[in-house]
Amino acid sequence: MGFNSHSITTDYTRQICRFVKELRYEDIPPAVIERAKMNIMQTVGVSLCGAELRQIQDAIAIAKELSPGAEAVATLWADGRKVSWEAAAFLAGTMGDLLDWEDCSVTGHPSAGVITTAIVAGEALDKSGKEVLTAIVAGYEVYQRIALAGDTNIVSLNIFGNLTVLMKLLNMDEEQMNQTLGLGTACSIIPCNIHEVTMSDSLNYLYGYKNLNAVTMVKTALAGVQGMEDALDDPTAFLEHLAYQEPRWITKELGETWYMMSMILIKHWPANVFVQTYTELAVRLVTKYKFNPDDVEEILVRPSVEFRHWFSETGYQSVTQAQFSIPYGTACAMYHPEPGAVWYKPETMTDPKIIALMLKVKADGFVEFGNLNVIKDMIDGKHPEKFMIVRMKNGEEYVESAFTHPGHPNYMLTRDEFKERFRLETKNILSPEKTEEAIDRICRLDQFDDVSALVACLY
Amino acid sequence: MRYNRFHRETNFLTPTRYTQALSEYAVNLRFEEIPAEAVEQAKALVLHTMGAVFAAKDTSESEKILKMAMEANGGEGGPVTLWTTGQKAGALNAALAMAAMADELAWEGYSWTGPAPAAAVPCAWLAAEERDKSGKDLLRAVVAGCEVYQRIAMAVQPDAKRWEKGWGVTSWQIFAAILPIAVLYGFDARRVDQAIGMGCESSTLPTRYHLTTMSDFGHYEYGYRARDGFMVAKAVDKGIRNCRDALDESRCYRGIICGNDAANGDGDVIVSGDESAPTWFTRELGKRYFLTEMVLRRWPGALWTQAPAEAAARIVQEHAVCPEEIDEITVSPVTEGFTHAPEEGYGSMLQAQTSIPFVVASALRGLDPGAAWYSEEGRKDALTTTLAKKVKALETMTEFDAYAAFREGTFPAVTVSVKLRNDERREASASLTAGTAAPMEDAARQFRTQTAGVLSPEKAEEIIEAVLRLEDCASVAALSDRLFVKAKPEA
Repeated sequence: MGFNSHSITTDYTRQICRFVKELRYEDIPPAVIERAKMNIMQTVGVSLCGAELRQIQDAIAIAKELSPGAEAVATLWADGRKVSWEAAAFLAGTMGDLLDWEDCSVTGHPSAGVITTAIVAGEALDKSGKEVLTAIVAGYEVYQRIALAGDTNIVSLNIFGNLTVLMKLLNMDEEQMNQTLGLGTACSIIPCNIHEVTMSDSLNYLYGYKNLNAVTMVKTALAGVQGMEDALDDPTAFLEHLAYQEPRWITKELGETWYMMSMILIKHWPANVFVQTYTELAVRLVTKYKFNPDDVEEILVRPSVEFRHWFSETGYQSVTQAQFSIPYGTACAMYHPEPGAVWYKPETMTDPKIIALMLKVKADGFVEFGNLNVIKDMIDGKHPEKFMIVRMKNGEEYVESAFTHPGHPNYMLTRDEFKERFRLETKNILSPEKTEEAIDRICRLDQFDDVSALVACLY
Repeated sequence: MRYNRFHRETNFLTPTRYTQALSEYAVNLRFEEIPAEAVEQAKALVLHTMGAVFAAKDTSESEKILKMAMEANGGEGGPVTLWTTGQKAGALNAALAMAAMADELAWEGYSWTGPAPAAAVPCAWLAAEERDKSGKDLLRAVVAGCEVYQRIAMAVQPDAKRWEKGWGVTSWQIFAAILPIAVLYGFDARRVDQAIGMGCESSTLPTRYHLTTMSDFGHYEYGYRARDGFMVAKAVDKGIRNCRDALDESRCYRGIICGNDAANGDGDVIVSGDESAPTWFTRELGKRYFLTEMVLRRWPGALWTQAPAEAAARIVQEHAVCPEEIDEITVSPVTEGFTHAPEEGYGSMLQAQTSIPFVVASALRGLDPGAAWYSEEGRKDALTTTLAKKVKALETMTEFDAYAAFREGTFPAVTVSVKLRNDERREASASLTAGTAAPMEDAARQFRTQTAGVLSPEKAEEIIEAVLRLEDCASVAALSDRLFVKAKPEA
């Protein structure tokens, strides 16, 4: 142990490092490996889908500015240009959550970091499918535990998932890992969610920044920076600055229980987690009863979620603001039951028909939240059954209800359903042949000596 | 658009407009309206920071950070120039390297809230070069950047109690990076406001763990912040939605930095007492130029080593003391936490840089200030370590009080007294701000010291002359090409 002006009385950081170091592919249950593959399929699919939107085209341009040299080791997804590891990591991270479609854990969106970091690094470092899958599992498990130990910015905690993936892929020794996690705490961002306060799509770039900085951090650690060890144990280095401190989570059931199986929900729709089930109901209603949304008189949702039940009489400019609106998600899903980037194109977000329908969505009560763990309660299955009642202008009425949506840990998608989603997500970006190739390679990822084989299908 | 979901009663607009006021200030600041002494100081900060970077040119840490930057760049190529190597790179990667190197020897300028020039100067120069702006544009950006940075940082300074929990010296540096770039990218006030918002959400925890453990990662952090600043500016330049008025909403920044609790943006944030001081955001804006109150560090070392080092150097100049004849050294007052003198020498550059005994010992030995002080050999040097252990503190002041005194201009003169083996005493005093009366002259003298052995005297004079005439420079890109590429800087 190096110099520290505080006394260190726990060894959480070291336990994390030991777990990451000792985790072997062979020790991971097949169901966990299967979930890791499916999470790859989902995250890569929705990342590519986002490339239809302007912000990802902007991010591609920034990634190219980040890597103007000729030496390239990684690929810009959806674009194909070969660039530096850092540039590819930034872009993939920015893509990961753009459509808010990848996942939602009890604490944030780990897949936007873990999966994108792993695939890009796997290419840059010529790693095998098994190595990448092992790193992904390690990344989820460490992310989730640190994330539960203290509440902070939704993106901030991704740095620990990203770093864990890289620590594992780089085969760092435990001391290097310890230093690396210390760099992660030093560069963790403050516990505020400005994107949610101001409804800004700046959020998406933050995921890219975490990916970029994680690569630089592991390079810094490998270059030999010292003195940053035991940061998860130090009294003022990290947890003290977060909204609450529950350090017991950091190592809870580590290596015994796979939190990625029980604490991560897969999104079925490109929308905020609280919007998912309502969107599900809207699509079910419009496809089952085949009504024309123009003829809808009123839509009742019972109960709604108060802080997601907002309207705009002029539509939305910010993708985030639209993604966070139950009325918008409901209306958009009825006009575009096939989800995709189209939901967040400027012309869709300001479509007069969708705005008119959104204004007809009424809340009949709101879900009561007794504590701050509203997402945890949702993933734990404690939220109530939701009803959507559609009243047509001719007096007809249609009703559907659901507790949750496919992709909830208690209601997980099947492999075939994941594949169908991937085809939908990539249909405007990849050729059908490449889509099928990508699906096949993800499903057989453990058989590949180099994940570059998968990346070759992503543009 | 301006939108804040917590302010329904005011049509989703924050009741105050600090962020917008700062943004309008940065956009509307005209070179011609900046007082001559502020322009002079801006030039001095540019030259002095550049000197700090050159001083670190040949260290192993610089080699690492330059390698990382060029790897991220995909090899050589891009619109800007790495000052010390003449290589071309993208501004994002150049900022990572130049800002980390600017702080590496702890030799760049220092304000009450930290070394603002570490990120502000490299980011301003690189953005000016990238967008082919003039010297006046560059200086305007440095002034605007430092003024906005200092006010944001002052608004979130911790009280004495919270100081123990952490101090965000490397955290609010993000604003020193973002603002100059935003000005040079030609943002309107709306975009500057958004860039500040993204700066808030990219702000790191105010921990300073590197000082808890004396890790040299602290130096790298300035590079990380500078690159983050460019990343933010690039995103805003492309266009983002909303993200405005972040400084006006407690839950977006100041309440979090100063708060006892944070509820993930959804609930109430408890702001601790009067710690968050939002009136600082616009205090004397356009009237008082805080950058003129920044110190150009004369010695490579932490702020609190400056006056002791200066006093020690005066003893050497006036009395030609032989280090082997020194029996005891007293320093008064010293800042608490800056008096360590480990038996085995210093484990990191930062540990030596933050040691008054080490810096005083190095100055008393008459060693030329520079990277050699902080090399592995320098930090473990037997004579320096022996001398450092002879340093005794008479009076002490807390770091919190020291910063308050610095801010208020009441930081006391520091006296170093050397007792020789023959019982004779040699004594000298120096103030924290010694030598800053004529900033550009001081910076030029400093630059020659900083670059001695790194640049040829001719090259050093060429750079001094160029910065001295910076307001006459029509193209920073052409100037960079002339200074750093066509004749690569060599000793």
